Amino acid sequence: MIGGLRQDGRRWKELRRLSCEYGTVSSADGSCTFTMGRTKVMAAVFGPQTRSGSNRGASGSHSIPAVELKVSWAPFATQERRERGRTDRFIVELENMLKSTVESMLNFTQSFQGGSGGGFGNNTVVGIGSSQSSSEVQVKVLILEADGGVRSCCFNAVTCAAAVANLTLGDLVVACGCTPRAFGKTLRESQKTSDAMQVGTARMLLDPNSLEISKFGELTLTTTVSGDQQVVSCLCDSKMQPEDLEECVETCAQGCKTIGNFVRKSIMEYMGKVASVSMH
Amino acid sequence: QQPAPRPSWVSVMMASALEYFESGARENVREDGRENCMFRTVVVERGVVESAAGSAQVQVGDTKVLCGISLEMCNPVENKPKSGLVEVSVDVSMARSIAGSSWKEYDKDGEELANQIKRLYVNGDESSSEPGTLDRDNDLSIAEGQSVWLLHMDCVVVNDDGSLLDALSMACRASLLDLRIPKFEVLETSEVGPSGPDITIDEDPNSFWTLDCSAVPVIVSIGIVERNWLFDMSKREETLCRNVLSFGVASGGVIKQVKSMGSANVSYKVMNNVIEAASLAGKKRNVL
Repeated sequence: MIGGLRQDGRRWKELRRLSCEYGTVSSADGSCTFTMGRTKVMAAVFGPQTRSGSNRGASGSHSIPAVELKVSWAPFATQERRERGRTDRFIVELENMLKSTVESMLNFTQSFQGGSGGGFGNNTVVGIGSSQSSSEVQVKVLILEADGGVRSCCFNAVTCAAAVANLTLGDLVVACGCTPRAFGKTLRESQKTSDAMQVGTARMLLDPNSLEISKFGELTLTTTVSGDQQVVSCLCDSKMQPEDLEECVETCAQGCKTIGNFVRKSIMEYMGKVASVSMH
Repeated sequence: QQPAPRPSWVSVMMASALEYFESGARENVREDGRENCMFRTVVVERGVVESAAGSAQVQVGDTKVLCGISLEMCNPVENKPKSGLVEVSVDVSMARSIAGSSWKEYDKDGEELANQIKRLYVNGDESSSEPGTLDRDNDLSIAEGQSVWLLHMDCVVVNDDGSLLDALSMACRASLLDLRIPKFEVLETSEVGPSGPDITIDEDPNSFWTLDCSAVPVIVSIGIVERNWLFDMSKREETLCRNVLSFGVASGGVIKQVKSMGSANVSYKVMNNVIEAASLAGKKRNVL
């Protein structure tokens, strides 16, 4: 970091350029291509439709649609070509997280109340023997370009697509990433120095790109967009100091707020063009 | 001439849709108001994916297809020491509805499409030593016998409204035109080590080769209804049409390959007309 700027010219708490284009998949009810810097993810939401195939274990109850979600990672998304099959760990994990997020968004009477930071405690509105479950929402996610923050981008894309698909959502969910270790410190250094933190030089980087993630790891925080910002999930793949967790989550939450504002604005803009919108 | 008797699989509901489609074809009016010989608007955008060496997005009506090319160095095939290699993959999961866990079905779908596209570039007969369409002047070789470029063409179908093969082949061709092959230097030594000759790749993004794509064919799919032929069919038309012929046509109208899918018989006279029509259409498309 030279002169307080990162390699791509950003400051530690600056997000990359966000943009969202709607209607990219014409046969979908709602679709968008969400771009965060050089990471681009396309999401398409179809539904609700009558459920296809046999009843595969109740995951939705009477009035709430079941969610089918699939993530594909295009082989040309990274600088070095890499094929990620259906059983790839990253993809399976991402699919599960996205699926439970969408289910919570649709199941809004229950999910966002009293949820502890770790996950979805009350996502399970499982109808036992719910052969009445008749509708299903299909979500397809395609990762076109991956330059760090892929998980966050996926969440944001799915939220935008679901919102413009005219589904009844409880709240919007956005995500942001942050490096869990202050820049300039190796894990050992963080362990040694505790109070002697030099403000301005050692900082956690918000919305890291793939180069920064390969050096410092990434923590992805998912929160709701409403005034009372609630954490939906928090995921970190690398080691970090427990004291750093609070600062990291706070930094991320700030990023999520900015993204939330952007998402809201862009959805309102788009809906303003295609429908009449009233603000509550 | 009486229309061919309908096969037994046509259900009652299908029957009226089929009748609508076939009578439209006879009158030269299709569902969306086009004439039989009219194509939908084609939009080609190059360089859409930054991380790929070459990429393009093609939109034919509502059908949207993306193609990205990645480069890799590898050993050549034994009987073609100077020829590069081409691998094609097609991902249709975005455009097909998720029905249980029948992933195998779209994998198969994707593979079939990929094989068809691949045949445009690589001769099906592996034992022949004829170069593929990209290799006329051994464009893809790095060090003869040791190292050649392997092109990975990964296509993604974003939306399927018919004419998939056409759109895919156009996207592949456009990305080949967009492709940048980095310049390299082969260290000339009399001794060649076990891992092959030393090759240095020029990292400068502004120095690159582009491929000569004049021999690259494009697919033109034509549906046949009795004595009429339809270009560029939409998804609905494709499901109702009993005979579809796909031609791989290079610039200059030369037909490279034909694939036929259909259940009814087509008269010989019609076939001749269709072949000519495909050739003309291919010529036009290759100008893009």
